[in-house]
Amino acid sequence: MNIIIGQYVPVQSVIHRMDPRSKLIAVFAFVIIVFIANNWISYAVLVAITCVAILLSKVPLRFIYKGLRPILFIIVLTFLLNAFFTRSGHELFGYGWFQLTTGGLRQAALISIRLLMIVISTTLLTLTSTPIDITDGLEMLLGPLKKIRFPVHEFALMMSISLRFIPTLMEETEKIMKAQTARGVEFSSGPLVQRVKAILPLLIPLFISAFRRAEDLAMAMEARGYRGDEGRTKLRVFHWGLSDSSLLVIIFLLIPVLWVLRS
Amino acid sequence: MDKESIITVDNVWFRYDNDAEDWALRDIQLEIYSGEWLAIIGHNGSGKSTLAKCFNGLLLPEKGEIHVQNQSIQTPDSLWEIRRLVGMVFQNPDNQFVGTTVRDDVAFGMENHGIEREEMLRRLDSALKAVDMQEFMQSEPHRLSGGQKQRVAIAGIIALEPLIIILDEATSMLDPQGKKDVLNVVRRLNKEKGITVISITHDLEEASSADRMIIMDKGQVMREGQPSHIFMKPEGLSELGLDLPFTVKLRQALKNHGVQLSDQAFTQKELVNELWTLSSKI
Amino acid sequence: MDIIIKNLTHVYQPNSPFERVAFQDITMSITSGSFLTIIGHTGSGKSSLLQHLNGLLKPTRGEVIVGDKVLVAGSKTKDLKALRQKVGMVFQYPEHQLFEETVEKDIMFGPINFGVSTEEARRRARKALKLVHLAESVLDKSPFDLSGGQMRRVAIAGVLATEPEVLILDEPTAGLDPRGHREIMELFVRLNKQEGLTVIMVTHNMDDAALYSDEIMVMDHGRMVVKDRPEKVFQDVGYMARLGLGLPQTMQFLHSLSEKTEEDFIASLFSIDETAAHVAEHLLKERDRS
Repeated sequence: MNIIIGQYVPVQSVIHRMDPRSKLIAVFAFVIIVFIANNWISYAVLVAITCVAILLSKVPLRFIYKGLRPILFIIVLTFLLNAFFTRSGHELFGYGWFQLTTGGLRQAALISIRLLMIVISTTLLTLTSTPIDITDGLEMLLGPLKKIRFPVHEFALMMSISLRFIPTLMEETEKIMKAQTARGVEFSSGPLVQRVKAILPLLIPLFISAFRRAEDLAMAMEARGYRGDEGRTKLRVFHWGLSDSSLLVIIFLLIPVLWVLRS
Repeated sequence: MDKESIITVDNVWFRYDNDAEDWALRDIQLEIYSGEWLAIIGHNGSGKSTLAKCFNGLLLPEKGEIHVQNQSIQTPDSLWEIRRLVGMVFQNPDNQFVGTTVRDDVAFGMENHGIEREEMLRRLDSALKAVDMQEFMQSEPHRLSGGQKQRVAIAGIIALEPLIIILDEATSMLDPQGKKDVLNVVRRLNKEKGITVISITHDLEEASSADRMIIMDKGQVMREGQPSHIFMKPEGLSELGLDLPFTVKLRQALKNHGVQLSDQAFTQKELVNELWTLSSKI
Repeated sequence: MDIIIKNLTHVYQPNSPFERVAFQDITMSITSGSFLTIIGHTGSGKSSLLQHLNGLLKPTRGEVIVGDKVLVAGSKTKDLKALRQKVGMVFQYPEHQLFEETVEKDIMFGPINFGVSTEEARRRARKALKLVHLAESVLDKSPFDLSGGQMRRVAIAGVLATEPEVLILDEPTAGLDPRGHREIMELFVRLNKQEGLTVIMVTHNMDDAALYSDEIMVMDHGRMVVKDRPEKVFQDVGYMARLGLGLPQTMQFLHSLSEKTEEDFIASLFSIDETAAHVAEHLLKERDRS
């Protein structure tokens, strides 16, 4: 079975080679900074930066579109709601509760663009970094939280084990579905109530098997000397480079720039 | 063979439920010798897997003591070192694979033991080479066969430079090719690196090739000795829930059909040789 | 019911970068009441082929005819349920499909899905339990309180309770100890010989294939290589080795013996007793000659 976890697209690009930590910080900051902009010029700057990022990542556009598809509906909805329910500027067209105004259109456009940029920047993150790199990057960034007893290592380990088991569990789901189908269960036809009931013979064996896996895995981990974060070293390392520092400089320079440009 | 003890089991009792009279292990007295290949067989519920888990302290006996190279498993401080010295391969190839790739999984044990990164990289290479899995370093587990996953598990263990490897029914979920590959790797490690092997198994042919064999039943050691000696005296073995290896059954059948065979031949090779001697004498 | 397979081909995810041919151009028939074993290395397409017999997979090309049900590429076959009642399938590690609160409920699950009344399903559960040699006392227990071997038998009972005419077994003895292995195989032989069920089994165990089958079909890289009686299939020792397949233990022994003595002991014999008799006869003949 061929399963691709996350949206990672293996391509050789400067963004792919970057340290996931810098990408994580950049995206996090960008999502917040986006809210500083409130006029066409400031938005133009943000859109330009996003486009440059897309180009540098060398990821074919169709993958960006795939990442947007789930949210497209929300963006369109947001646009329409803002367009028809915001009253400011001249009225262009009206019908009872619905009123299309120039101010409304403007707001709708700006808010939609904002949403788009947030989604595109996070999509770029997952397109250019493997899930495990993102997990490791997060673990390192959240490291200081260990001082306040936050279980950073445990969360990261949970994430990586979950990632590792997703394909395995998917294969098992398929196997169980086939076995139950052979016993006369119909998963994809019949009335809704029947289809919902059909979930039990799938979910229960899956859960039981998942618990058994967890038990076995815990024992194997103990046998291999696992005892939490204490005294642990790490194989995976990241290399912080010039492009990473540059990225952060650019992102943080955006703050004063946008502040000046905003109206 | 070096008769030096590497694990000693002294009057060990274990039960899963502290109140019940249902002991999983009853007064086990045992020595494991350095460099040997020991097979532990017995029907399901005989206690063999429970015993295996006591060797590295995954289970702690209620009574009695176990020492690995003179370190007691009851001492919390020695436990981590013991788990480095006593590696364990479990039955389900998927449920012991922790890392997202082969490389990550082999490194897992080393990371736990705080091995420096440079050293980790060195050992990664040699461990994967020893199990013939170098080309699969970046592979994800769901792309590997059962036999390949078990070999990766072995690599993860030998990267810690253990003295003993326990195979807890490690081949029972594998197809014949996978079984062969795994056993060949472990045999190589036993012969070339002198690693002691304790194999919990159902496979009588595999058990027959061990240096020494133990049969367990109801939590006790019922028979102990060379596989050939134990199987040549088949009385009582079926009561213990055991079958006989192929050559033993064949030898008996040949005798029944009038072929004069001694009680010496045990392996297929030996049986073939004896028949050859017989036929050339004719 | 007879099964006829004509030019059957199955391709996974066609027209995609993941396209993979499971098997191609298989033509064969399985007579009602026979015991067929399919052998082949992992990835040769055996399991994919099995799944066409109860409509779990649809043909990419060619057709499968099970009794009077025709499954052909491209058609939207309705009423696969009736087919699945007639063709029961026991998957590898079937105990993983257990989910009900009690053993009885789980065994009744299949029949009830196929439209059987609760009363009748209960009766069938008891009958199936007897077939797999489990005591009636397990009916009220949770399937998860049983041992692994017992759980497997409950799962098999669940398939038998639907009263299929054809029984498909995908590596039924995987993970079992020697005794469990033997008992399960004896069950299937009983079902085949006494109840008249057509049995189609996939296994890696050459001894089982040799001892129990009327015919063996060998698959290699998605193609059918030979389908014949066990004696014929295992005759060409070198060929089996080239396909990466083993031999039944008895034949392996006879082969080694022939090599060592430089005499011909080779025969298509699969039971230990027959093999011993054969060797003894040979040795006695020699003695008589000299």
